[in-house]
Amino acid sequence: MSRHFFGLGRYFHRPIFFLLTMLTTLGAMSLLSAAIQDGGITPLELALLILYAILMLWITASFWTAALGFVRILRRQRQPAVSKTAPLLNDLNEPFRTAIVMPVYNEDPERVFAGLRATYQSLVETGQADSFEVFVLSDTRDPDVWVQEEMQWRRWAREVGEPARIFYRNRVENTARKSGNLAEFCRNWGGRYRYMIVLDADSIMAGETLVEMVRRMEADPRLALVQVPPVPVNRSSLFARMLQFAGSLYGSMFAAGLSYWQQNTANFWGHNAIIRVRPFTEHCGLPQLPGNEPFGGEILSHDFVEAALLARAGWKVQLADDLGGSYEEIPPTLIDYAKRDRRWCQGNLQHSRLVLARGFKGASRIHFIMGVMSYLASPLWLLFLIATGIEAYFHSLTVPVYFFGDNVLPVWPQSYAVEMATVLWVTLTLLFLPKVLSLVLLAFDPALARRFGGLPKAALSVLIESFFSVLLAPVLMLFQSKFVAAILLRTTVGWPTQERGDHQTGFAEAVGAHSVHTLVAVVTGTATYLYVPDFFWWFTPVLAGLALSIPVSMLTSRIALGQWARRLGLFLTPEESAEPRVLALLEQQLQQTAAPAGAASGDFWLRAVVNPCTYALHAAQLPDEAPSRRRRHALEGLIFKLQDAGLNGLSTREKRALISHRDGLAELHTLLWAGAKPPLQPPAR
Amino acid sequence: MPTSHVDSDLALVSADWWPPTAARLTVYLAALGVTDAAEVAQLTEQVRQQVASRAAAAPLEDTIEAAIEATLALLDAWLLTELGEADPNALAAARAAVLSGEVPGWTQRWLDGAAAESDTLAPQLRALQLTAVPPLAPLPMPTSTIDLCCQRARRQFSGAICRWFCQPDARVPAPGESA
Repeated sequence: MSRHFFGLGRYFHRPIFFLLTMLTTLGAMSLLSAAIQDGGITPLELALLILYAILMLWITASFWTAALGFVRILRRQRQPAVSKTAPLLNDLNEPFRTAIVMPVYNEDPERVFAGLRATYQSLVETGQADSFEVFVLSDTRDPDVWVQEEMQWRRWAREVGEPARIFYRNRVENTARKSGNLAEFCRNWGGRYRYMIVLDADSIMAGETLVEMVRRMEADPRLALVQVPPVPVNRSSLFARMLQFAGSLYGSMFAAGLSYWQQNTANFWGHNAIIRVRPFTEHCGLPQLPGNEPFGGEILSHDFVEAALLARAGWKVQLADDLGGSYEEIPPTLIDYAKRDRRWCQGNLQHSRLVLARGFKGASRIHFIMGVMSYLASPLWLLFLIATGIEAYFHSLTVPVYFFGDNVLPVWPQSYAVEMATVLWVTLTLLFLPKVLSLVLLAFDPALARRFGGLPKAALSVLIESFFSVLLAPVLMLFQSKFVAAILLRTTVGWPTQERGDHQTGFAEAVGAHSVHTLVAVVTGTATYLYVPDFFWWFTPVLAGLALSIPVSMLTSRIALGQWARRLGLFLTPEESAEPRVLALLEQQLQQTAAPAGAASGDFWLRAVVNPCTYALHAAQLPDEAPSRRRRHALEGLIFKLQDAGLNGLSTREKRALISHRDGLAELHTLLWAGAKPPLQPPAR
Repeated sequence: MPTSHVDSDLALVSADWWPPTAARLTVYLAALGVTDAAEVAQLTEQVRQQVASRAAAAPLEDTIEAAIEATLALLDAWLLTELGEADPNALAAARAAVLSGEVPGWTQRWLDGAAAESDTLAPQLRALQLTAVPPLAPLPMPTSTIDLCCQRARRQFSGAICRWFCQPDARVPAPGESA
């Protein structure tokens, strides 16, 4: 009976979540409306109320996700899963293959292949690697990186030997970016695989996790996608270590909460997920959205849409919050973090057009809204702050009237300080309580607490992390507001590609990125101090974050500071206190894939052209195709340009064109060797 | 390598420009992995004969270029002899295999020419050929339809406008007419 009742419980997950979110929002709204409706409501106050309603909805949804996750993890701790011996994959059913696919685009080949090698080695150690194959789906345009990728692939494929399980292909045209890359793989080789596990260039996954993902898919034939939440690891700067700590400690709670209310209509985060290939090919061919960029054209953030399309077709999409062994690397500095946001922002805002599209499930629409809100919240907060400042200014102009009408006694103006303070405290509670809840979880699980450095140190880390998050929040708010504005105004902000490795922010870079923030702080601070002094003190946390953005950005990017904090046991994550096997393998593999000493970066293209060995290796990877007259002419033109302008006179695109075909490559090889000076002296092997 | 038919052309490549060509060829052969002096001398001679043969047929624009091309042609010719029947992909893979040093003693073998069928390098070269991608196993992936709300509304709106202005007759049937 009780079992039957609990079985029905899953139908209440979503109503419970939405009811709690709505009630909390309404409660906070009623407090604010009581405080600001002093003798009617002005248009400005109405705008404030609407903005607050939207932002509260966003905050409470996040809060209740964490709170429900907290309860879920607590229950899980008290009812540990019964351990059972899992069957081997090949014993489950008829033999099938799973592809581990990694779409890459101009990424560091050493890191890409080290990550894949570590993941594969971890899989080999489970004894179940036979049914897996690795496919590097390169969309790389940079000819140097392309040649390096080939060399790395060749070395690894040679080591693994027969039967061939490590594959590599470089796409001729990178149509539709990452989604097009995956689609091309599915169209060409999809029939070979039952599942594909999609990894990002910085993903690392443990072998046991990969096997378990396949097992879950096999257990439920209606399951099309399982997303395993990736935990951020491996960075050393203070900024990254704080993010890693937060991601590890609070992230599990949020993931459990998301899984609780999303159920079978979860989301796809683009990587560290397993996908059933056949339904994916049947339903996830992405169309172009009508109109021009930024809201039309190719769908940039394809993952949300693919999950929504699978759910629309009746397939299950789940978030496996209980699975570990899924890792990713994060940007090392605040500026790099903002750069990544810039890339994601446009894709997420594009989803605003899909919210009301026909046929999508309600939960998928909520994913789209949440994606949009993750960037739109910043300009809304900014507007809210501006509106609050203006409202406070108007209030400061109002002279209280104590005697009016026939009243003999003074009529004291009504104070709403209690209501306003309550609104503030409710908002702060919703923002910071999840951090406290995560510490409560640690208190209930001493073993886990030890892996976070012990409860006192974890608590201190939470305190410091909260302090920095208060300082960094206004900076990110301005960054994201700028990105949203730039996208709406159809201008490009012009961020370069993402920096994945550890590096530090220099003074010039910090000034370049944050001088506007500092200026905003000085101007706004002066204005509020002079004209609305009461508001100024409320505003100081925001102003402090902006005013200190340059030193904070530089300070948090310091690797030494991050390492010092680690030695003190601060921001310690379970992955740092007990390194998982697959991460240790990554370190080993990074030495394996490192470029030979003396190999200058950027000379791989030249090596592919002049070094007979590299030339032969690269030529062996190129398709055998008859040269057309048009291509011949184009190649000859490029060769003339090379002769006239020298090696540095060619653009990256032109260099790539020259080494994309066997005939052009052969001609160039011969030409350079017949030049005035031999290109290699002494021979480079 | 037969030499009799090029004897008459040897004078063509014995001119002053041959020494610089030979010097460059030596560097190129070293880059290929041929460093033994005797092997270099032998291969240089073979290349000289090839270039001479070409020069006899048509004037050469650049003898060094011709020498490099001749070297690669000699290498490919030897590999084809070793492999027997081979498509361009297998040949490219075999060239990559020998030049990356995966076939010990290949330079001597190149000079000696292919041995008896029983001693061919073909199995070794084919084993060294790496499979970059598996055989194609295509799946159709049709483009899904996403019916956007704004698109739908615009379509309905423009349809209504069109009906209203462009086809007023279609909007309200005239009395006595069928719709």
